[in-house]
Amino acid sequence: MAEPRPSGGGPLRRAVDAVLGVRHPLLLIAVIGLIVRLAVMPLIGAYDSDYWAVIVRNLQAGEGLYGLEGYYYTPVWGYILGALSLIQTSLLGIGELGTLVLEALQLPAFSDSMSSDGTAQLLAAFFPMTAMATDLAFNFSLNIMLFAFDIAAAYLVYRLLAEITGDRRKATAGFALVLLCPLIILTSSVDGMFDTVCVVMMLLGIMLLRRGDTFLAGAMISLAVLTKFFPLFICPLLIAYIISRYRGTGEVVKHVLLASAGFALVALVLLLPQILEGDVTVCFRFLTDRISSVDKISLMQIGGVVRILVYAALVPLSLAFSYLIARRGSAEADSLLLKGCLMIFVAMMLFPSPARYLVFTVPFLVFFLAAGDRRLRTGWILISAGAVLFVVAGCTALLTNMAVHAGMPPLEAMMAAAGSMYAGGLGAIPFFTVYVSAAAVQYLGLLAVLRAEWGDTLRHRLSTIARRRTG
Amino acid sequence: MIIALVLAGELIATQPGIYVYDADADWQDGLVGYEVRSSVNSVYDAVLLDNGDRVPVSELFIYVDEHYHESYGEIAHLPGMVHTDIRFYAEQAARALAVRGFTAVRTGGTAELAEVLADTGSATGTGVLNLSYALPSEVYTGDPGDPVLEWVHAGGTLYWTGYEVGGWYRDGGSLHRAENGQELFLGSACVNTGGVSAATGMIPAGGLTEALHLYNADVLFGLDVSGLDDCLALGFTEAGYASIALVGAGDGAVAVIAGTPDFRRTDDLAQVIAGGLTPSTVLIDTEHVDFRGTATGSFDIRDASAPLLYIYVGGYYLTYGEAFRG
Repeated sequence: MAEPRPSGGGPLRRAVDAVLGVRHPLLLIAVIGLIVRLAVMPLIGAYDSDYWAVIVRNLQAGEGLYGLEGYYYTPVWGYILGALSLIQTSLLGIGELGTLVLEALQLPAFSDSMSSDGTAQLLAAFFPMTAMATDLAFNFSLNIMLFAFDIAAAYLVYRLLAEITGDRRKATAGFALVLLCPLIILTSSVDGMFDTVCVVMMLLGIMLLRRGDTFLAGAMISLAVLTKFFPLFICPLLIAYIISRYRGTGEVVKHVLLASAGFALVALVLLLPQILEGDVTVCFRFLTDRISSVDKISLMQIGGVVRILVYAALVPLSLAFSYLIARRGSAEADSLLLKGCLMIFVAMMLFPSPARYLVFTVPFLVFFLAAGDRRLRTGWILISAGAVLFVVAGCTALLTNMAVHAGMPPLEAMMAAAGSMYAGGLGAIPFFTVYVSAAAVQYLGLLAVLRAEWGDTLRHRLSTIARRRTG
Repeated sequence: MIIALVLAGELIATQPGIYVYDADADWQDGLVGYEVRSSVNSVYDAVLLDNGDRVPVSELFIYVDEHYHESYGEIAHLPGMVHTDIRFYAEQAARALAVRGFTAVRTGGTAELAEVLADTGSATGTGVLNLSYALPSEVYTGDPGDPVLEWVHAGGTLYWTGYEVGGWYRDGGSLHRAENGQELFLGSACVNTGGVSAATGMIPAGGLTEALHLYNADVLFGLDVSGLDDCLALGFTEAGYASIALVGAGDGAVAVIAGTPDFRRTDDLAQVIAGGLTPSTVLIDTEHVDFRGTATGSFDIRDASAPLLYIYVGGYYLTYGEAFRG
């Protein structure tokens, strides 16, 4: 047992001593992760938290997830918000979910695609804002729940590393690289987004599959897909993994069926309310749009088409990895499965995506990095650095909730800072400089992963082709 | 544990009886007392309005233009035009109104619209909501004697949202411009057709904007009411245009709820209708109180000639509403 440290000095010193006094490495990392998140929690952005409040409002009004407009996803995240909302209103006593900030209407980022100011249009597209400031207790309770999912994601990577490499030190490093990854912190604590929730479900699915619990694995992957559809692209890999693992035992069909049954059962239970109402399509509203400016072919519309093409290109990649996994023995299947997941998600993000989507790459990137592939270090660093820059780009507007509800910083000062950052014309240059740099740095991070994984092979193939031509 | 969390949320989202709200009002001489109930922590607003000699709408017909998509391409190039699923937004309006206790709503197409507008005797207290850019020639051709104009002047309230008031009518399959449409409905050409959308300022409207927790800061196809008499502008403003304007026309009114189609516009539209607003509405008094369980209060109504008490729960994130007439 550790010797108790002599307590003295101020509360800060005592807090530092308390943290340093934690001996278990996982606990120490978790405490550091918690402290960092508590420090950045006041930055939680107003934009998404406003949407979450609208969804909670709709649930409390008896309109379910899809009655009144506001929820555009498949149901899982809405259900989680529903469970959280009961705690928020019953235990935390949250009455008013948020308020309108008149001062924020002055910021040109509120202009939309109708604006004649091109800079304002760009601001609205890249950094949409809301004039609603949600209640701090509402935001923080959401943050704390998402922190639990961050811990779970890090712990699942820890377990995967411990089970596959048998090396606790590597596993601990993996835990730290996930939990303390600025992108993970940004997504849950600043964006207030649920991508990590989906990642946890996906990792649980993989973990359960490795343990032979194929029914529950299918159920968990179904939960993940109905949270965010990205994991759909790794489903062929998971089936290939079952084939690889159970080949020769005569149980391949049984386990594929079990996984499919788990997947179908969860999908049925979660979609049942909409099935009974006779309209499951409302759960997939994110695939369509109820409004459009058909007179203009906008950048967004072109982007949407390109995105679909990129996602379509993932299917052959997914099938190629599946083929490899199914062909190889089960000894290699683990590594190939995780590598396949990494490369599919990296390839998916090559179409420029919101920073938080890159969360799907982090657990797999960290797995191989912590397992000893140092070539992936650059990718992790750049993806993390990009996340920090995104926070810097949005820092002034991100303080709206704190300024309104806690007076820190003063609302006038925050709006003045935001005005200089996001004002139209030349005033927007600071924002765009940092924002575009953040996106570029993260994109370089993705390319660094691609180079690390496929660079040598590509170089080798090219030199072989060149030799053949010259020879 | 994750599965339990999700299933618990599914139960909460789908089972009635977890979030329960209710309100009552008791009108007495010179006083209205009220009681609000909620099963969870919340905030209520009690808003006492006076509509003077105007009758607020108590039933609504939502016109769903059957030919909306067919001719949209002809006007899609105009500034600010947004193509939308009007069936979806008609349903949204009905739902938002039902949450606010306003359930006398029906929807229909051209035949039903013509039927409603032909009944000028029942126009007072009736509203028609148009979510389309055009009206059918059965009720409107750009002529002062058209059924829709006669119905409004007889006391009906026409709610118009999303497009230029009176700008177009459809005869068979073809779309026609009504050059003087704005003047016919509003008395002057004052619609924001330039595509200005985002509003930066609030119109206090004697406290009504805050009392009703309006929040759709969007003036696309809104009105500049500076040259109009007998009107009420509220909500938000930009370049002189208001996000919400109710203009008196004869014994009736034309109410323009501006903005691009989304839930914010739907919410403000529902507040205007369920709150019983007319061009004459003034705010008498208001209360904004955090509560759980049962809360009570009262207002002095001696200064109000046609008082209406609108109680709602949730503030900007409204979960329940009910209007009571004196």
